Parts: sequence; C-alpha cells; structure tokens
Amino acid sequence: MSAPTNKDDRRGEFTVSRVVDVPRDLVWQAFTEPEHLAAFWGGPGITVPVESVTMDVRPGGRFELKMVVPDGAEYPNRGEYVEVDKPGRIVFTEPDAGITATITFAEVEDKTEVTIHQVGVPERFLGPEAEAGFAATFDKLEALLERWTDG
Amino acid sequence: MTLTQERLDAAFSALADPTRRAIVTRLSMGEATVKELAEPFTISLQAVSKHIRVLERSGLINQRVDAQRRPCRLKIDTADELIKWITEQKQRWEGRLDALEAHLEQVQAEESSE
Repeated sequence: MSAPTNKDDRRGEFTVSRVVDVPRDLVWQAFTEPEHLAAFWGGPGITVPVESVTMDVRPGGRFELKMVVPDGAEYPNRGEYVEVDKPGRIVFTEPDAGITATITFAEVEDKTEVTIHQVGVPERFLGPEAEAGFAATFDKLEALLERWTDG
Repeated sequence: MTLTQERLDAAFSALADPTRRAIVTRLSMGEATVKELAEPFTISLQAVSKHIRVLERSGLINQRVDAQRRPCRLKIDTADELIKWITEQKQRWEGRLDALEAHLEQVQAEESSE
C-alpha cells in the first residue's frame, strides 16, 4: 500500500532535540573532540574506536570514523563540515548518505538544548525511478509476476 | 506514457532474463544477500551483481543497508521505504543523544571526583 508522504518526508526532513544538564561549552567539546565523539557517536550497541576518528572541525574540513557493530563488522562514517560556529552551531554533510545535518546548541539556563535538523535522502529515493515508485501502486510484486506469467 | 507505465516497462524488460527471474523468485520468499543469491548459480558473483544492478535500476528490488549486511529485497513501495528510512534516521539520532547524555554524566562525575 502507498503510504502518504508529505513534502517534508520527501526531503527527508526532521528535527530531534534534547536538553542535556551540562554547560554549552562541554557539549560543544563533546561534538568536536575525538575522545568525546567516539564515546557517543555510535549510539547504543555500536562502538567507535577513538583511534579511528579524524576530524578537522572547520568549514570544508572533513571527519571520518569507524563504526563497529556487535558482530565486529566495521562501517565507515565520513562527512564534511559546512559551517562551524563555536559554540552554537555545526552543519555537516554525509555525501554517502545524501544528508545534511545542522546541530545547534542553545543555552537554557544552565543547561544546553541540542537540536538536530536533518535534510536529505539517499540516492535511491531520488530520480525518475523513485518518482515512479512513489506514483505506482504495486501492492506486492506478486501481482507483477502474475501479469508477466500470464502474458 | 505515465511514470507507472514506464516503470512497468522497465520491470518487464528486466524480467526477460531467466537469471533475473530466478533472483526475483528467490527474493519473493524473503530478503537475501548477493552471496546468498549467487549460490544456486554457476555464474560468478560479479555476474550476479550485474543482474542485481539491472533489477535495482528497474525498480524491482533494492539493497537495504543493514548494520551488518546489505540484503537485497523486493521493493514494495517507495513511500513506505522512505518513511521507514526517516524513522531509522531519527532513531539513530535519539540513540546518539542517549549515549551523549550518559557520556556527559560520566565526564561530570569524573571531574567532580578529582
């Protein structure tokens, strides 16, 4: 069944935010220093070896790191900084994934609100093929296969 | 021609090949990696990958990026796919923020104990 998609969905746009109970400078440090980034970037269950992290935190600078999943397989994560505005804002792109993320750090009394705004979708959701996918209503491929066998 | 017709044409021409039909039939039973798909064939893994790319271009199948592998599967609906992808991306950030909070707590605890 076709699920309805609105414009924001088609651009892969969403926002996630969290208030963390630490001063803004420390949150900035966490996002810009390898020892800190390695500790959280993978999220639960995925580790990032600190020695795999290289980051050149300035506009046009690149970052690269390795994500290690529980079975030991490693996946690279790389991107480029677009904007670096200490201590309030970082914009980076991940060309492999087709995304651009804007992270803002706002002071809320003595806490910090971290907001991520991400835009972009992988290539497979773009182009005429994907357009056709959105337009078409193949409930199941079996239907197509049936037509092929009948023909 | 409508997009749907174009897509059908692409799909039907992709299915004109017996190896590709076999791959699609296998995937109708569930997702599989390129290696798993290649097993029943005498042709090389590379040749199977080529067939998979044709099927991908025709919009019949896609390769999902899983944490551990990249299984192929039949593409049912691009819209559902996209919504699922966005949900995964959101979860990725939520997980990252969970880990960030835990890490910052630890850093602060270490600082205050020094």
